[in-house]
Amino acid sequence: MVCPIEEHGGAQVLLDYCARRLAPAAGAALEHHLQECARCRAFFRRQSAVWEALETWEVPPAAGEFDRRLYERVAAEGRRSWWARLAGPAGRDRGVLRPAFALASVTLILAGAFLLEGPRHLAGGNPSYQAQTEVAEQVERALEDLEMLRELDRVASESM
Amino acid sequence: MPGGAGLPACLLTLRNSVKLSVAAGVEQIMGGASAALDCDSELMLWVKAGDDGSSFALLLEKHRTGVIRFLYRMVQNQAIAEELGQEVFLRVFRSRATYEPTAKFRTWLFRIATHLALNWLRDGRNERLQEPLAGDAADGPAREISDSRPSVEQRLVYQVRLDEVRRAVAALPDKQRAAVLMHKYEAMDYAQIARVLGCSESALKSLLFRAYETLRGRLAHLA
Repeated sequence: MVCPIEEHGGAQVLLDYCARRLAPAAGAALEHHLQECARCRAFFRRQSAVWEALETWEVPPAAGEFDRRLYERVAAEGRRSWWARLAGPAGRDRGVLRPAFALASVTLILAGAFLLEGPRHLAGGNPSYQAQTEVAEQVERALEDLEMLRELDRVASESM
Repeated sequence: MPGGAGLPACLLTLRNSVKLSVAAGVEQIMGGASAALDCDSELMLWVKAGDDGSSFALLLEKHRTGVIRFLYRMVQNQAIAEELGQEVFLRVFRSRATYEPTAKFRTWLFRIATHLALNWLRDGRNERLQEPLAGDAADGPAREISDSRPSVEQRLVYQVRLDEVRRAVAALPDKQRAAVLMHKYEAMDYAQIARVLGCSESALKSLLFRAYETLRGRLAHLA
Protein backbone atom coordinates (compact mmCIF):
# COMPACT_ATOMS: atom_id res chain seq x y z
CA MET A 1 0.00 0.00 0.00
CA VAL A 2 1.22 3.50 -0.84
CA CYS A 3 1.69 5.61 2.28
CA PRO A 4 -1.54 7.69 2.56
CA ILE A 5 0.31 10.69 3.94
CA GLU A 6 2.69 10.77 0.98
CA GLU A 7 -0.08 10.35 -1.54
CA HIS A 8 -1.88 13.56 -2.53
CA GLY A 9 -5.15 13.68 -0.60
CA GLY A 10 -4.45 10.25 0.80
CA ALA A 11 -4.59 11.31 4.45
CA GLN A 12 -8.35 11.34 3.94
CA VAL A 13 -8.17 7.57 4.22
CA LEU A 14 -6.76 7.93 7.72
CA LEU A 15 -9.58 10.28 8.69
CA ASP A 16 -12.14 7.84 7.33
CA TYR A 17 -10.48 5.01 9.20
CA CYS A 18 -10.64 6.96 12.48
CA ALA A 19 -14.28 7.76 11.76
CA ARG A 20 -14.92 4.05 11.08
CA ARG A 21 -16.13 4.91 7.60
CA LEU A 22 -13.62 2.90 5.64
CA ALA A 23 -14.69 -0.24 3.77
CA PRO A 24 -13.47 -3.42 5.51
CA ALA A 25 -10.96 -4.31 2.79
CA ALA A 26 -9.45 -0.84 2.71
CA GLY A 27 -9.42 -0.81 6.51
CA ALA A 28 -7.52 -4.07 6.64
CA ALA A 29 -4.94 -2.79 4.16
CA LEU A 30 -4.50 0.38 6.18
CA GLU A 31 -4.12 -1.55 9.44
CA HIS A 32 -1.35 -3.52 7.83
CA HIS A 33 0.30 -0.30 6.66
CA LEU A 34 -0.01 1.28 10.12
CA GLN A 35 2.12 -1.50 11.58
CA GLU A 36 4.95 -0.50 9.27
CA CYS A 37 4.63 3.29 9.03
CA ALA A 38 5.48 5.36 12.11
CA ARG A 39 4.31 8.58 10.46
CA CYS A 40 0.83 7.24 9.73
CA ARG A 41 0.69 5.71 13.21
CA ALA A 42 1.40 9.12 14.76
CA PHE A 43 -1.25 10.73 12.58
CA PHE A 44 -3.75 8.04 13.52
CA ARG A 45 -2.96 8.39 17.24
CA ARG A 46 -3.50 12.16 17.16
CA GLN A 47 -6.68 11.94 15.11
CA SER A 48 -8.06 9.23 17.39
CA ALA A 49 -7.40 11.50 20.37
CA VAL A 50 -9.44 14.24 18.70
CA TRP A 51 -12.21 11.78 17.88
CA GLU A 52 -12.38 10.55 21.47
CA ALA A 53 -12.25 14.07 22.87
CA LEU A 54 -15.18 15.10 20.67
CA GLU A 55 -17.15 12.13 21.93
CA THR A 56 -17.15 13.51 25.45
CA TRP A 57 -19.28 16.45 24.34
CA GLU A 58 -22.88 15.55 24.95
CA VAL A 59 -25.82 17.86 24.62
CA PRO A 60 -28.53 18.58 27.21
CA PRO A 61 -31.99 17.51 26.09
CA ALA A 62 -34.41 20.05 24.64
CA ALA A 63 -36.83 21.73 26.99
CA GLY A 64 -40.13 19.91 27.41
CA GLU A 65 -41.98 22.94 26.13
CA PHE A 66 -40.31 22.90 22.73
CA ASP A 67 -43.18 21.16 20.91
CA ARG A 68 -45.91 23.16 22.63
CA ARG A 69 -44.20 26.45 21.74
CA LEU A 70 -43.68 25.31 18.17
CA TYR A 71 -47.31 24.26 17.72
CA GLU A 72 -48.43 27.60 19.14
CA ARG A 73 -46.31 29.35 16.54
CA VAL A 74 -47.59 27.07 13.79
CA ALA A 75 -51.16 27.83 14.85
CA ALA A 76 -50.40 31.55 14.94
CA GLU A 77 -48.96 31.20 11.46
CA GLY A 78 -52.27 29.83 10.25
CA ARG A 79 -54.16 32.72 11.85
CA ARG A 80 -52.07 35.45 10.21
CA SER A 81 -53.92 37.54 7.68
CA TRP A 82 -53.11 37.18 4.00
CA TRP A 83 -51.53 40.62 3.80
CA ALA A 84 -49.29 39.91 6.79
CA ARG A 85 -48.09 36.70 5.13
CA LEU A 86 -47.55 38.57 1.88
CA ALA A 87 -45.52 41.22 3.67
CA GLY A 88 -43.30 38.55 5.20
CA PRO A 89 -43.12 36.07 8.04
CA ALA A 90 -43.19 37.18 11.64
CA GLY A 91 -40.09 37.73 13.71
CA ARG A 92 -36.78 38.97 12.50
CA ASP A 93 -37.01 36.92 9.33
CA ARG A 94 -37.31 38.81 6.08
CA GLY A 95 -39.96 37.57 3.70
CA VAL A 96 -38.95 36.94 0.13
CA LEU A 97 -42.13 38.65 -1.00
CA ARG A 98 -41.49 41.81 0.98
CA PRO A 99 -39.55 43.65 -1.77
CA ALA A 100 -42.12 42.50 -4.32
CA PHE A 101 -44.87 43.79 -2.04
CA ALA A 102 -43.15 47.20 -1.78
CA LEU A 103 -42.60 47.32 -5.53
CA ALA A 104 -46.22 46.41 -6.21
CA SER A 105 -47.34 49.17 -3.83
CA VAL A 106 -45.22 51.73 -5.66
CA THR A 107 -46.55 50.54 -9.01
CA LEU A 108 -50.10 50.90 -7.73
CA ILE A 109 -49.38 54.42 -6.48
CA LEU A 110 -47.84 55.35 -9.83
CA ALA A 111 -50.74 53.86 -11.74
CA GLY A 112 -53.18 55.76 -9.51
CA ALA A 113 -51.28 58.99 -10.05
CA PHE A 114 -51.35 58.53 -13.82
CA LEU A 115 -55.05 57.78 -13.81
CA LEU A 116 -55.85 60.85 -11.73
CA GLU A 117 -53.43 63.26 -13.35
CA GLY A 118 -53.27 61.89 -16.89
CA PRO A 119 -56.55 63.19 -18.34
CA ARG A 120 -55.90 66.71 -17.01
CA HIS A 121 -52.50 67.23 -18.57
CA LEU A 122 -53.58 65.55 -21.78
CA ALA A 123 -56.35 68.09 -22.09
CA GLY A 124 -54.12 71.15 -21.34
CA GLY A 125 -51.85 73.16 -23.70
CA ASN A 126 -48.19 72.40 -24.50
CA PRO A 127 -48.71 68.71 -23.72
CA SER A 128 -45.17 67.37 -24.13
CA TYR A 129 -43.57 69.90 -21.74
CA GLN A 130 -46.39 69.48 -19.22
CA ALA A 131 -46.17 65.71 -19.42
CA GLN A 132 -42.41 65.77 -18.84
CA THR A 133 -42.78 68.02 -15.80
CA GLU A 134 -45.55 65.94 -14.34
CA VAL A 135 -43.75 62.67 -14.92
CA ALA A 136 -40.71 64.08 -13.14
CA GLU A 137 -42.88 65.12 -10.22
CA GLN A 138 -44.59 61.76 -10.13
CA VAL A 139 -41.28 59.93 -10.15
CA GLU A 140 -40.13 62.14 -7.30
CA ARG A 141 -43.32 61.42 -5.36
CA ALA A 142 -42.97 57.72 -6.08
CA LEU A 143 -39.41 57.78 -4.76
CA GLU A 144 -40.60 59.56 -1.64
CA ASP A 145 -43.36 56.98 -1.24
CA LEU A 146 -40.84 54.20 -1.68
CA GLU A 147 -38.64 55.76 0.97
CA MET A 148 -41.62 56.02 3.28
CA LEU A 149 -42.50 52.36 2.67
CA ARG A 150 -38.94 51.34 3.42
CA GLU A 151 -39.04 53.32 6.64
CA LEU A 152 -42.38 51.75 7.61
CA ASP A 153 -40.99 48.34 6.77
CA ARG A 154 -37.95 48.97 8.95
CA VAL A 155 -40.07 50.21 11.86
CA ALA A 156 -42.41 47.22 11.48
CA SER A 157 -39.44 44.83 11.47
CA GLU A 158 -38.00 46.41 14.60
CA SER A 159 -41.31 46.27 16.40
CA MET A 160 -41.78 42.55 15.62
CA MET B 1 -49.81 14.06 -3.99
CA PRO B 2 -47.89 11.00 -2.85
CA GLY B 3 -49.22 7.57 -3.42
CA GLY B 4 -52.00 8.66 -5.77
CA ALA B 5 -55.31 7.24 -4.60
CA GLY B 6 -54.16 5.80 -1.27
CA LEU B 7 -51.49 6.21 1.36
CA PRO B 8 -48.15 4.50 0.75
CA ALA B 9 -47.72 1.36 2.83
CA CYS B 10 -45.06 2.85 5.10
CA LEU B 11 -47.29 5.83 5.82
CA LEU B 12 -50.34 3.70 6.50
CA THR B 13 -48.41 1.84 9.14
CA LEU B 14 -46.94 5.05 10.49
CA ARG B 15 -50.22 6.87 10.70
CA ASN B 16 -51.84 3.90 12.41
CA SER B 17 -49.09 3.87 14.96
CA VAL B 18 -49.74 7.46 15.99
CA LYS B 19 -52.50 6.26 18.30
CA LEU B 20 -50.01 4.20 20.28
CA SER B 21 -47.24 6.75 20.49
CA VAL B 22 -45.63 8.99 17.95
CA ALA B 23 -42.15 8.34 19.23
CA ALA B 24 -42.61 4.61 19.57
CA GLY B 25 -44.13 4.50 16.11
CA VAL B 26 -41.13 6.19 14.57
CA GLU B 27 -38.73 3.85 16.31
CA GLN B 28 -40.65 0.66 15.63
CA ILE B 29 -41.67 1.19 12.06
CA MET B 30 -38.99 3.34 10.49
CA GLY B 31 -36.21 1.15 11.82
CA GLY B 32 -33.33 1.51 9.35
CA ALA B 33 -32.17 4.95 8.32
CA SER B 34 -32.42 4.34 4.58
CA ALA B 35 -36.10 3.42 4.72
CA ALA B 36 -36.76 6.38 7.00
CA LEU B 37 -35.29 8.89 4.55
CA ASP B 38 -37.77 7.97 1.87
CA CYS B 39 -40.55 8.10 4.38
CA ASP B 40 -39.47 11.56 5.55
CA SER B 41 -39.97 12.99 2.09
CA GLU B 42 -43.32 11.26 1.80
CA LEU B 43 -44.33 12.59 5.19
CA MET B 44 -43.39 16.08 4.05
CA LEU B 45 -45.53 15.61 0.97
CA TRP B 46 -48.41 14.74 3.27
CA VAL B 47 -47.75 17.93 5.21
CA LYS B 48 -47.87 19.71 1.86
CA ALA B 49 -51.14 18.01 1.02
CA GLY B 50 -52.61 19.42 4.25
CA ASP B 51 -53.09 16.31 6.38
CA ASP B 52 -54.30 16.41 9.98
CA GLY B 53 -50.88 17.34 11.34
CA SER B 54 -49.72 13.83 12.22
CA SER B 55 -47.08 13.81 9.46
CA PHE B 56 -45.53 17.01 10.73
CA ALA B 57 -45.65 15.59 14.27
CA LEU B 58 -43.75 12.52 13.11
CA LEU B 59 -41.10 14.60 11.34
CA LEU B 60 -40.72 16.77 14.42
CA GLU B 61 -40.43 13.78 16.72
CA LYS B 62 -37.83 12.16 14.54
CA HIS B 63 -35.62 15.15 13.83
CA ARG B 64 -36.10 17.50 16.80
CA THR B 65 -33.25 16.10 18.85
CA GLY B 66 -30.77 15.98 15.98
CA VAL B 67 -31.50 19.52 14.86
CA ILE B 68 -31.30 21.03 18.36
CA ARG B 69 -28.17 19.02 19.15
CA PHE B 70 -26.48 20.32 16.00
CA LEU B 71 -27.59 23.90 16.66
CA TYR B 72 -26.46 23.71 20.27
CA ARG B 73 -22.98 22.66 19.23
CA MET B 74 -22.95 25.39 16.60
CA VAL B 75 -23.99 28.28 18.85
CA GLN B 76 -23.08 26.77 22.23
CA ASN B 77 -26.12 28.22 23.94
CA GLN B 78 -29.10 26.05 24.81
CA ALA B 79 -31.75 28.79 24.69
CA ILE B 80 -30.53 30.10 21.34
CA ALA B 81 -30.27 26.58 19.95
CA GLU B 82 -33.89 25.93 20.87
CA GLU B 83 -35.01 29.25 19.45
CA LEU B 84 -33.23 28.51 16.19
CA GLY B 85 -34.67 24.99 16.28
CA GLN B 86 -38.16 26.49 16.49
CA GLU B 87 -37.34 28.63 13.48
CA VAL B 88 -36.09 25.61 11.54
CA PHE B 89 -39.32 23.67 12.00
CA LEU B 90 -41.42 26.75 11.45
CA ARG B 91 -39.64 27.24 8.12
CA VAL B 92 -40.30 23.63 7.23
CA PHE B 93 -43.97 24.20 7.94
CA ARG B 94 -44.01 27.47 6.01
CA SER B 95 -42.30 25.86 3.03
CA ARG B 96 -44.77 22.99 2.83
CA ALA B 97 -46.64 24.49 -0.12
CA THR B 98 -43.53 24.77 -2.26
CA TYR B 99 -41.76 21.64 -0.99
CA GLU B 100 -40.34 19.33 -3.66
CA PRO B 101 -38.43 16.21 -2.66
CA THR B 102 -35.36 17.04 -4.75
CA ALA B 103 -33.02 16.11 -1.89
CA LYS B 104 -33.27 13.88 1.15
CA PHE B 105 -35.48 15.52 3.74
CA ARG B 106 -32.74 15.43 6.38
CA THR B 107 -30.31 17.17 4.04
CA TRP B 108 -32.85 19.90 3.38
CA LEU B 109 -33.58 20.20 7.10
CA PHE B 110 -29.91 20.58 7.99
CA ARG B 111 -29.47 23.06 5.20
CA ILE B 112 -32.07 25.26 6.87
CA ALA B 113 -30.53 24.70 10.31
CA THR B 114 -27.01 25.45 9.08
CA HIS B 115 -28.17 28.56 7.26
CA LEU B 116 -29.83 29.88 10.42
CA ALA B 117 -26.88 29.03 12.64
CA LEU B 118 -24.34 30.60 10.28
CA ASN B 119 -26.48 33.73 10.03
CA TRP B 120 -26.73 33.93 13.78
CA LEU B 121 -22.99 33.54 14.18
CA ARG B 122 -22.35 36.05 11.43
CA ASP B 123 -24.61 38.60 13.05
CA GLY B 124 -22.28 38.57 16.02
CA ARG B 125 -25.08 38.06 18.48
CA ASN B 126 -23.06 35.23 20.02
CA GLU B 127 -20.75 37.79 21.57
CA ARG B 128 -23.29 38.82 24.12
CA LEU B 129 -25.43 35.70 24.33
CA GLN B 130 -22.97 32.83 24.28
CA GLU B 131 -23.03 30.87 27.49
CA PRO B 132 -19.86 30.66 29.48
CA LEU B 133 -18.10 27.48 28.49
CA ALA B 134 -18.78 25.98 31.89
CA GLY B 135 -22.42 27.02 31.62
CA ASP B 136 -23.73 23.49 31.36
CA ALA B 137 -21.95 22.25 34.41
CA ALA B 138 -25.22 21.84 36.25
CA ASP B 139 -27.03 19.66 33.74
CA GLY B 140 -24.39 18.37 31.35
CA PRO B 141 -21.48 16.52 32.87
CA ALA B 142 -23.42 14.83 35.65
CA ARG B 143 -25.48 13.13 32.99
CA GLU B 144 -22.61 12.37 30.71
CA ILE B 145 -20.20 10.52 32.93
CA SER B 146 -21.05 6.87 32.74
CA ASP B 147 -20.26 6.21 36.40
CA SER B 148 -23.43 6.97 38.31
CA ARG B 149 -21.43 8.52 41.16
CA PRO B 150 -18.47 10.39 39.71
CA SER B 151 -16.01 11.73 42.21
CA VAL B 152 -15.38 15.45 42.46
CA GLU B 153 -12.02 14.91 40.82
CA GLN B 154 -13.58 12.98 37.93
CA ARG B 155 -16.12 15.74 37.44
CA LEU B 156 -13.42 18.39 37.41
CA VAL B 157 -11.27 16.46 34.95
CA TYR B 158 -14.30 15.91 32.77
CA GLN B 159 -15.25 19.58 32.93
CA VAL B 160 -11.77 20.73 31.96
CA ARG B 161 -11.74 18.30 29.05
CA LEU B 162 -15.18 19.36 27.91
CA ASP B 163 -14.26 23.04 28.09
CA GLU B 164 -11.22 22.40 25.93
CA VAL B 165 -13.29 20.56 23.36
CA ARG B 166 -15.91 23.31 23.27
CA ARG B 167 -13.30 26.02 22.97
CA ALA B 168 -11.50 24.18 20.19
CA VAL B 169 -14.71 23.67 18.22
CA ALA B 170 -15.85 27.24 18.84
CA ALA B 171 -12.55 28.53 17.51
CA LEU B 172 -13.03 26.84 14.14
CA PRO B 173 -14.26 28.98 11.25
CA ASP B 174 -18.07 28.70 11.07
CA LYS B 175 -18.25 26.54 7.97
CA GLN B 176 -15.54 24.18 9.20
CA ARG B 177 -17.39 23.90 12.49
CA ALA B 178 -20.64 22.99 10.74
CA ALA B 179 -18.84 20.40 8.61
CA VAL B 180 -17.14 18.76 11.60
CA LEU B 181 -20.35 18.65 13.62
CA MET B 182 -22.31 17.01 10.82
CA HIS B 183 -19.46 14.60 10.09
CA LYS B 184 -18.71 13.63 13.67
CA TYR B 185 -22.05 13.76 15.45
CA GLU B 186 -24.75 13.45 12.82
CA ALA B 187 -23.15 10.61 10.87
CA MET B 188 -23.84 12.33 7.58
CA ASP B 189 -21.90 11.24 4.53
CA TYR B 190 -19.73 13.57 2.45
CA ALA B 191 -22.34 14.02 -0.27
CA GLN B 192 -24.99 15.08 2.24
CA ILE B 193 -22.73 17.51 4.08
CA ALA B 194 -21.49 18.98 0.80
CA ARG B 195 -25.07 19.52 -0.27
CA VAL B 196 -25.95 21.17 3.03
CA LEU B 197 -22.98 23.52 2.77
CA GLY B 198 -23.40 24.10 -0.94
CA CYS B 199 -19.94 22.97 -1.98
CA SER B 200 -18.38 20.10 -3.89
CA GLU B 201 -17.39 16.87 -2.16
CA SER B 202 -13.71 17.52 -2.80
CA ALA B 203 -14.01 21.03 -1.34
CA LEU B 204 -15.76 19.55 1.68
CA LYS B 205 -13.04 16.95 2.20
CA SER B 206 -10.45 19.66 2.09
CA LEU B 207 -12.51 21.75 4.54
CA LEU B 208 -12.80 18.81 6.93
CA PHE B 209 -9.14 18.00 6.63
CA ARG B 210 -8.18 21.54 7.60
CA ALA B 211 -10.67 21.53 10.47
CA TYR B 212 -9.39 18.25 11.91
CA GLU B 213 -5.83 19.45 11.44
CA THR B 214 -6.64 22.45 13.63
CA LEU B 215 -8.39 20.24 16.16
CA ARG B 216 -5.42 17.85 16.25
CA GLY B 217 -3.23 20.80 17.14
CA ARG B 218 -5.54 21.77 19.99
CA LEU B 219 -6.86 18.48 21.31
CA ALA B 220 -4.34 15.75 20.54
CA HIS B 221 -2.74 16.20 23.97
CA LEU B 222 -5.96 14.94 25.57
CA ALA B 223 -5.13 11.37 24.53
